[in-house]
Amino acid sequence: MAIEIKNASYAYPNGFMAVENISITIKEGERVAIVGQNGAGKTTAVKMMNGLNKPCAGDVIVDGINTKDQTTASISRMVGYVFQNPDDQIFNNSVKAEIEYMPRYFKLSEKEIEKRVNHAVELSGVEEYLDINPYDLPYPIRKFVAIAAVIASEPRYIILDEPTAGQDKFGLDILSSMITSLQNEGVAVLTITHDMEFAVNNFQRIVAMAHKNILADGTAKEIFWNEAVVADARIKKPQIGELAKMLSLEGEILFCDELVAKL
Amino acid sequence: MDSEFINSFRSYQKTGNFWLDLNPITKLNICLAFAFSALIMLDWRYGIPLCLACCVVALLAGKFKVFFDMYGKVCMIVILFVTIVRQIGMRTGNVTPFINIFGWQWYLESFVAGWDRITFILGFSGSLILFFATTPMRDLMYSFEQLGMSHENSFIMLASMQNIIDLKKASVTILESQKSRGIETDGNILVRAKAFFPTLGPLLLGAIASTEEKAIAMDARAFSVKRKHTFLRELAPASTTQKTLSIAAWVFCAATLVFRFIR
Amino acid sequence: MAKIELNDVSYKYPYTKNQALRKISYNFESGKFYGIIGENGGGKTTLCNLIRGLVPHFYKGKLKGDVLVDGTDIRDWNLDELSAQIGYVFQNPFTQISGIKETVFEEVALGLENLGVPKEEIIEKVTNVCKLLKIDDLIENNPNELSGGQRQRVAFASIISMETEMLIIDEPTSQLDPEGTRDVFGIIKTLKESNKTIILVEHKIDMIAEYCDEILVMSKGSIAFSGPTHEILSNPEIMEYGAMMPQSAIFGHAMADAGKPLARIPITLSEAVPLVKDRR
Repeated sequence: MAIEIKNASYAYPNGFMAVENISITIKEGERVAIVGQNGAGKTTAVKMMNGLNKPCAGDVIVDGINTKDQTTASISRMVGYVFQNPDDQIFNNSVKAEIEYMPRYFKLSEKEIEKRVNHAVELSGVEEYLDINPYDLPYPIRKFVAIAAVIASEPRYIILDEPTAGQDKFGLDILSSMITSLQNEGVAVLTITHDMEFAVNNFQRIVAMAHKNILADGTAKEIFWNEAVVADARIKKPQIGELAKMLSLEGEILFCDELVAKL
Repeated sequence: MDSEFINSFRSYQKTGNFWLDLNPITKLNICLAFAFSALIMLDWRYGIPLCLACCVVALLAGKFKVFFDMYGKVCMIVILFVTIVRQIGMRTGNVTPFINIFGWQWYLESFVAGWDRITFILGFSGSLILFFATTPMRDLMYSFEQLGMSHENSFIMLASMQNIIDLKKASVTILESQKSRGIETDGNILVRAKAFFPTLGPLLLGAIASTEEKAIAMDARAFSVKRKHTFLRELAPASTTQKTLSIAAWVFCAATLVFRFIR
Repeated sequence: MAKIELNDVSYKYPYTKNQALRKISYNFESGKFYGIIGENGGGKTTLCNLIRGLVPHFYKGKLKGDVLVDGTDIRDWNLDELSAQIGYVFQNPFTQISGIKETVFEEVALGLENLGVPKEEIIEKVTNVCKLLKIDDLIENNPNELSGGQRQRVAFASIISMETEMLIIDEPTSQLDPEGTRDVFGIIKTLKESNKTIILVEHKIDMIAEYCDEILVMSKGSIAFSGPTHEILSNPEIMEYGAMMPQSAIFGHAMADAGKPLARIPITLSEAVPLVKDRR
């Protein structure tokens, strides 16, 4: 069970080629962060994974199904994608109704609906807002509502687009524990992020994209201590790594405890 | 910085084209006068030269493509529609068979009768389309503001045009976002009806929310400060020659009226 | 005299149960750079709206206590005149573009046109601001077709050109990529050098650490902490109020916990490096 992108390219209807000949495999239960500059092709690549972008060359296979053979909606039930802006998604007049929407759409039993809603609510920390109209909530909380609504569809893979934007410390803590819980349930979590601290602290595998292609794919150390990759993908080394570099320390340090132990 | 571009604001906006550089109000007067003259004459011998004249002016103004994109479509629809209606209406009397299309007999007389109507509509719409194809909206609003229209109204007009473009873009994203949580948007009527609310909801709510934000943003730009405004981009006021042109156009229109009555 | 004086201020939005601001007293001095951090929904944006006069002029609701801007109560200010005094830049780069201008140069000039500034002066001011904010290569572009980061820079230019004495900047980078963020912080650095009174709400704590003179930590509608930047950002308690701590400060505390304390808790990387070198 995996998402496999095989030598796939995608061109927008206006002819603009946004990714060229990329290949990557995302296995069940993995945590992958995709980093890189705007325009590198990150969003185009993940939109191929849930069938929104059908490749113009090559194939995308999700759990054995070629995305070309099914509608975007049916692929999306396996690969959920939470867009960057929650307002593109939310339309119900209470948080509960928004989260229940997909389970009801699938015509599940009341018991199953309740189970899924409770699970999604617990992971996203929105218990206290269930009866509130999402539009009366601050933007970062609306984002959690949008995430909960996708979790309630119980996809095998979840893609989070810039989940940390505008989040405070509490929001970041909820995100971290959500990602861990999802992984424990066997759900793969992918994220597109500009927040390097978030990437190294929560994702074992980092994919750096640049120039419409995958530049490097590996552990946080392999990516962030490869100066050529950092420069070419125009990403920033996490702060602790930067401090280690300024101190000319050996050992490709990225985490606080490593640095403390070294000194 | 391009000083030529910045300097262009120091004098009146000019393109060097006689028709384009006419004051919008002068242009509006001329176009309206000719549009009404077509209505008054109601004769193909007047209508056809007027249609051709509109095309020639558009060509000379260098706006033929914009003009004909719209005008060509109008011509096609009007010609087809009026011809068919006339053919259906013409059943009795002294008629000459013209062509037989799958058992439907067309008559020569109805073509001739239709022509007067067709050329009047085309002459009328040609003049108006010529006006809008050769006058940017912002120039028209500038002229109306000079005549005393409030800048709130002018803002609403101009901003709505941009809003339509923005809403189109937003609706594409919203549709993608809803597909990505598993809502089918392609298929039979019932499937599409189900997707209607999830796509329309965010669009409307988003429009309302951004209107409020825009009000705040414009407020920060001193939009409602009660002072006499200046205009960075200015158009030349109508010269005496231009005023004479406007009056001449209306005199001509009145003359057609007189001509029609004596005939 | 304080630029803004808040005295026991409480505020509740219409149709809501909870107070958005509770008994806030604080003086914002002229020429200082203030950072506001803390949990979402804690009152950061409401405080901006209050100082900006949107509360209570735009959003009605119940306002108690004194809010003085340049010594005059906010209720006696005309909102329209206040906009000529206090500039405001906020998160969404898309709604801040007017949508009625076809070039960036004209977009930046819009506020000055509304203020009735003579044309020659507009051209001069807009030219200078575009150079200062390094958007001179964009002046002929259509503002409605720019990227988010570029739009945010244009939004800054549009406000800065109006030369207000005070600026309120509410999460200017939360919707931008790293490049857009870096450009915006370049602008903020330029503004700091101009000695304006600035209030900045921002989650990117390393940027706050670099530029602010004083920090306010907001939580549940009240000011939980306030004081000089170094004192506040080196205090781990702020994390319990939803505020982030700079990575350098977290590292400083971790060193102390491991029995290898630095001479003081650093809040920026450039502060941390010599402290570590001194220890070795």
